[in-house]
Amino acid sequence: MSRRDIDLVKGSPRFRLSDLWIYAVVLCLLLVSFAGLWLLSPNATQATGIEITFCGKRAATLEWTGRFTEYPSERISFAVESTAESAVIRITVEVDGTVGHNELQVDLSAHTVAMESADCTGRDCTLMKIGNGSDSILCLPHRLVVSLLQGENWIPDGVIL
Amino acid sequence: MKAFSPKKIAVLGVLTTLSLLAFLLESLLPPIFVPGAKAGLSNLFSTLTLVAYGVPEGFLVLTVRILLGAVFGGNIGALIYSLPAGLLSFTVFALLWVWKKGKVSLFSLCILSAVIHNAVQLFAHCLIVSTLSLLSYAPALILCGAVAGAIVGALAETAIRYIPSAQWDKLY
Repeated sequence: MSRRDIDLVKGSPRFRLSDLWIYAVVLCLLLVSFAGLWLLSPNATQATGIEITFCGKRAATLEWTGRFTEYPSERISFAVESTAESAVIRITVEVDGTVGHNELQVDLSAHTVAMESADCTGRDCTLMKIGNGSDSILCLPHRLVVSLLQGENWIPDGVIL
Repeated sequence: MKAFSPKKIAVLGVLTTLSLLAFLLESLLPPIFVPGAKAGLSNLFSTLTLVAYGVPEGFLVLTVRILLGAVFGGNIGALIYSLPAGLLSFTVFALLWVWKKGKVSLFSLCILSAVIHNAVQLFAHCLIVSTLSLLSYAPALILCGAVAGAIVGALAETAIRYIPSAQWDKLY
C-alpha cells in the first residue's frame, strides 16, 4: 500500500481544495487561543506583585513595593538584592537530587519580570517574561512558576487540580 | 502486521537514527522567539516512514525517537509531555492520512499535526504545574506550530517528489 502512497504524493497537486478545512481548523484554534488569552489574562495593573511557586506550592512573593516574603518550603532557597526600582532574585532548587539555579530580574516600577538566566535543560524559561501581554514564567525542569500576584478581591478564572 | 524483513528493520533503524540526530542537533540550538518552539525536523523522518511504509512503522520510528531523545537529551522528565503530545498529534495525522488519502495534502496535515502537538504539550505543562496562566503562550505556540509544520510538510513533500521512484523502490 505504501509504495502507492509515494506515487500518490508524487502525482498530486501541492494544494487541494479539501486542504481549506484543515487551514480553517488551524485558524479556529488560533482565534480561540487569542480569545482565551483576552478572557483569561489577569490584568497586570491589578496585580500587587509576583508569586513564585515551586512544585505547585507558593514559595515566595515579591510585591511591587519591594517587600519580599518567603514561605517555608524545602528544597528551594532565595537570595534577593533589591533597590527602590528593581530587584534580582536568585533561586536555588533541588529537583530529583539535582541542584538548579534561576535568576529573575524584576522591574518594580514597570511591573515587568524576566528570567535572566537558568541552568535548566533547554533554557526555554529565559525567553519568558511577565508584562507586555504574557503573565507567567515557567521553568518546567526546575518545577518553578512565576505568576502575577493578585489582590485579595481577585477571583481566578480557573485552576487545574 | 507482517514480520519485518531484515532490510526493513535496517531502513527503519536508519530513519530512527536520522530522526534522533535531527532532534538532538535541534536541542543544541539556543531557544529563539517563543519558549518551547522548535522546527521539529525530527518529525520529517516519522512522516516519511508513515508515507513510505505505513502507520505502524511511522508510530514505531516516532516512539523510539521520543524515548531515545529523552534518554540522550538528558531529560527523562520531558517524556511526561513529549510522549502524549507526539503520539496524539501523530494519531490525528495518521487517521486523516488514511481516511482522507489523496484528498488532503501531506503539507496541510503536517501543519495540523504540529499545531496539535504544541497545543497538547502546552496543556500538559498546565496540568503539571496546576495553572491555566501558561495558556497566555497558546497563540504564539500555535503560530509557531503552524510554521514548523509547514517547514516539515514542505521538506517531506519535496523529498518524496524529487527522490526518483527507482530509489523509493529500493526500500521494498
